[in-house]
Amino acid sequence: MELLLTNLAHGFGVALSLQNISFALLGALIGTAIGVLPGIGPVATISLLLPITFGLPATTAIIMLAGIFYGAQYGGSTTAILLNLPGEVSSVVTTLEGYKMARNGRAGAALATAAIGSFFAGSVATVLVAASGPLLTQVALSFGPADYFSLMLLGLIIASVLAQGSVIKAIGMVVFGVALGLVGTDVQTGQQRFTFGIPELSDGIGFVPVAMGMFGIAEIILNLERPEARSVLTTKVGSLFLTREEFKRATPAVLRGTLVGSFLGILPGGGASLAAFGSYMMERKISKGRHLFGTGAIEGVAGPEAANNAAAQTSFIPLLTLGIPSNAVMALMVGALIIQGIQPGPRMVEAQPDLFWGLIASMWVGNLMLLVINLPLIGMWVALLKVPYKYLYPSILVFCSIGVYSLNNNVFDVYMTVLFAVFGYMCSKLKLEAAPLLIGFVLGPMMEEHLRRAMLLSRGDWGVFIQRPISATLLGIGAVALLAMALPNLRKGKEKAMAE
Amino acid sequence: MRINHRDVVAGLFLVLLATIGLFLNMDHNLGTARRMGPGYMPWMVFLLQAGLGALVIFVSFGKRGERVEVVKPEGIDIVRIVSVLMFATAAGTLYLTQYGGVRADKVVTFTIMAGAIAAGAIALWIRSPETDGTMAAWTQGEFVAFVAAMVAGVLAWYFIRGAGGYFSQGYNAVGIGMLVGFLVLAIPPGWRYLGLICACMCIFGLFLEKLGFYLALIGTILLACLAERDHIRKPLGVLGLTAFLLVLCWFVFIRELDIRVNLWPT
Repeated sequence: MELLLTNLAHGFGVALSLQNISFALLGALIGTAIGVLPGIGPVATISLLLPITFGLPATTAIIMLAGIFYGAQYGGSTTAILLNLPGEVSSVVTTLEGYKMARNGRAGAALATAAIGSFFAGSVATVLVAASGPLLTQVALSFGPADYFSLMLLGLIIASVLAQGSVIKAIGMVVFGVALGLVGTDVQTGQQRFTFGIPELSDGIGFVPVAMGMFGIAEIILNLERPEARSVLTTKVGSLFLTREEFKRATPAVLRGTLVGSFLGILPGGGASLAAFGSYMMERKISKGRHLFGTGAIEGVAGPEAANNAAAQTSFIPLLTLGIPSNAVMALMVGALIIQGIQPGPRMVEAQPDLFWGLIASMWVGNLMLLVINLPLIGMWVALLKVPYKYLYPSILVFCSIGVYSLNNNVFDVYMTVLFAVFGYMCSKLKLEAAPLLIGFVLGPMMEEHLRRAMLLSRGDWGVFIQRPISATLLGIGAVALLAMALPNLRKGKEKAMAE
Repeated sequence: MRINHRDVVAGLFLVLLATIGLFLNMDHNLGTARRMGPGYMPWMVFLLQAGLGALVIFVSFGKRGERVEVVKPEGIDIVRIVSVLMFATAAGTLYLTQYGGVRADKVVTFTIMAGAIAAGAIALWIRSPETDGTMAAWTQGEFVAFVAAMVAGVLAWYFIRGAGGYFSQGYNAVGIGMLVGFLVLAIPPGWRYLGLICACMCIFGLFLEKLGFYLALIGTILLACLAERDHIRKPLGVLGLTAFLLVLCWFVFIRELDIRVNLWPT
């Protein structure tokens, strides 16, 4: 406990330095600004802004990216409530009750509930991350290569099971992502793989061109093709203050949401959207206002919003302790860390205490900032909502182009982004999800390394994966998850939940 | 027969990508399970992917799987398939004549041909499952534009790469080939956005190092604005947007981030 406090104090020392706090603020501001722009979710926002952070020191860069992430997430809730337009999957449930509240003239109250609920959940989850991080790191250090491989495999399986649409297609995309990750120089023999003699490919396909092409540019093309998806703001915000009655109903929902979200966020492949869904289901079943659902029940905003923010924090746990991204946003964080020259994993606590504890402390700082910048400045965000898409897309395009070029000062990356944009567009037409591909792409090289090491140690015996207890357990969970999806009832349940 | 048409194409797509990967992987030593060579992991991964792709196709035919959008396959007429095959052969031959005497790398040649066939076949069907308005089955114009874009792009790249000077430097010839291809693609309304938006980024890549930051931005923004009909009616808005973005990009990237890039033509 004492050690935890010392560490947290150290973290706050890092996070509250003038440079870090100003970049956290800047990140949250930009993240919110871009997150409220219709049609741009957190993944697109982060990949768009990733190049801006390259010039910063590693700790500051990650703190800023985390700020962007929270901001974008919160911005997504704002559009969900005011426009009935979820910026991303995790705010889909917020549209259900939030937009109804807005139609009833309680948009301000819904926004305030979302902000306060998120702040409370974020604070609790931050403490949780700080407490469990070092413990899990200890566990992770006892992992052998075989255990690591199984853990990553489990992460990939769960990520694809929870993806939207068909599980088989999602696994197919994960696998292709792993394959894309293998392009470049083979670490052990130095042989060039799949590079076609192009020197730029010998370091592997760039992470940013893939993310930006598939999430940024392809999204623009798809948005332009469906003009009806963009809508206009008609509702008024109204008073931000909650009535006593609303406050009484929202409080327990926030508490439950925090609990559900913190737990579901830790799961590999879980994260904010699963947490929001879970909390919404729970509120509809057990909250006092359950009979009001469908007419603008405040519980339906408070619970899911608290849950998705708690999950957004706790999904950092697998990343910080094991180096494994649990969703597409965390895959972007891994990409950012690697570009900064830091290999995420259990050694990060020892090797980069500033980064580890600074990031945790800045989670709380970032949440506080969100509260501060969101409620008083709500008028400004509402004004941003009114920016028409015809002015937005040229701006996004230009920012993407400059950003991707400035990675290596090479136009090659610009053309790669174009190719991945076309690829992303095709995938989207074929309902092949891009998010699993990104996770596979990040994990691919690590998996190969661990697999090779594990097989070398076991002298070529594949049995090692079931002989080691940790590895066997992890693989067992993965198998159960896959089998569960093969059962028609469960699959239908998932489809139904996703459809809602 | 009732099949989920989109899933068939998605499965084919995965299988084709895996097949290309497996062919390319023939260059790499597999090694043994104990001492894995550079080809071992790709080999496993692509085999798994091909299997999954086949599974996707299989499921789409059965009673199980997503039964949401069941679309009758249409537009698979012989003429189109044959013309795509011919185009692929032409591309392959072009490649062979170019490298034929020097290094007849059959694997690469084969891959490129397979890739061209794959792209053609997939692109042929990729739109037909869509049922909403503009996304109906391929029109004649879209099909012609697709083939023409491929041919024009490859030809542009092929002839311009030897032109010397600017055109032979770095990736400029590739960029011009892509730009020409995407612009041709943008002619029919159905491909308009895909073609124009991709062409914008090519313009940026082509302009940036030669003409400088500001002209590259102006070119990209103006071309991007062509994609939205509103902008064509209101040129003042485009002007304002361009000015605003120039100032914003100057502030963010040049003043604050100080990226290394030519600002003016060289």
